[in-house]
Amino acid sequence: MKRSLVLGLFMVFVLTSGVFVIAQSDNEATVEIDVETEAEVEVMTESHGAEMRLLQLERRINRAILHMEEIIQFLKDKNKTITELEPIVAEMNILLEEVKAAPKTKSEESVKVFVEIKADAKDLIKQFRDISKALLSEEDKRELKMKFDNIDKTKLEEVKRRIEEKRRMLNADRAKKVLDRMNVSDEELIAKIRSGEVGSSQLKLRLLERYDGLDVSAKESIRIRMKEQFEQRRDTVVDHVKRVKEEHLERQSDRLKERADKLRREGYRVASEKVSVAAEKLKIRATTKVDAEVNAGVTG
Amino acid sequence: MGMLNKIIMILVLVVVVVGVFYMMSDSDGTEKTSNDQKYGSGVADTGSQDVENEIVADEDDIDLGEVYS
Repeated sequence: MKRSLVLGLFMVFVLTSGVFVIAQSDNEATVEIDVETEAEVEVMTESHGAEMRLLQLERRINRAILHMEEIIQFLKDKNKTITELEPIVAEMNILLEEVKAAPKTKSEESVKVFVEIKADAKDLIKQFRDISKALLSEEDKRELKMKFDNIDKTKLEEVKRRIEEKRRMLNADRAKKVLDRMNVSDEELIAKIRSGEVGSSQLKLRLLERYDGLDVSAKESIRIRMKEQFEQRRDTVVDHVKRVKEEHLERQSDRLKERADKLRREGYRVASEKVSVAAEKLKIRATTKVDAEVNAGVTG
Repeated sequence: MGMLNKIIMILVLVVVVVGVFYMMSDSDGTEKTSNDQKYGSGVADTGSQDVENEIVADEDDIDLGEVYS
């Protein structure tokens, strides 16, 4: 009785561990495209939207770098070891360069770059958070929070201003299309959206007022046309996301290789080697994947 | 009695394995996508929602997490 119980429990343990290992290795092979990210790339099917998202990413990375630098300085002042943290900031700075250099038009490439850089930035921030957690007390965190409030945010404010501008342009374009579908022309409203006089909440209300004033058949016609447009955008997004996943291993390997070179040039030898090894592993997996696909094609 | 124990053990095993697979399918993106949530099964419920969804909100931003917790 006891023996069968122990054996049974052992089998449960082995099987569940196996499932976890398989699931884990699958996750490592694909880029993180969560529901949130998928929703974010939807506006990237329009040029102003693509530019807005990339600027948002630039701003968030910049903000994280400023906070990381503040934490490192704080820990240095307390004579704590920061050797593991500095290369992470160096990698974040490389990501910042990459996002600034990204194509700012509605394109598959800008979506790929956004998804890849966002996933890398989230990962680096998590690494930094995990390491710094052990080095910071609750008191330190309170002190840091006050320091963060006093950081020079000029760069962030400038990018924020550009983000707002892109959002206004995007909303103006979209509002114009909605009005066109209602057979209405309102250049004054469009100009006010562009200048920022009419914000997004107010704009929604204005458009809803117009929509509510339509008769049932006009509403139905608009609903059908908008459904078509939604589906078109969704198809584009699904297609882009699919390609990001397909090409992830190869692209990520190339990106990491470049990053390893940059880190080495900046004097982060250990971090450079670590990134280089990761790049090499991805390259091998990409080659194996291609070989497997070719073999499947031959046998299939 | 011995046979009953074995049956219970197999049932537990099956439940655990199925449960783990279910959890995995939840976390690997096979759940509803944002587009499914946003557009429903292909379309939003009403035209007024469609109109609202067209406009990008001021608070719309991306989240990378914080550098310390």
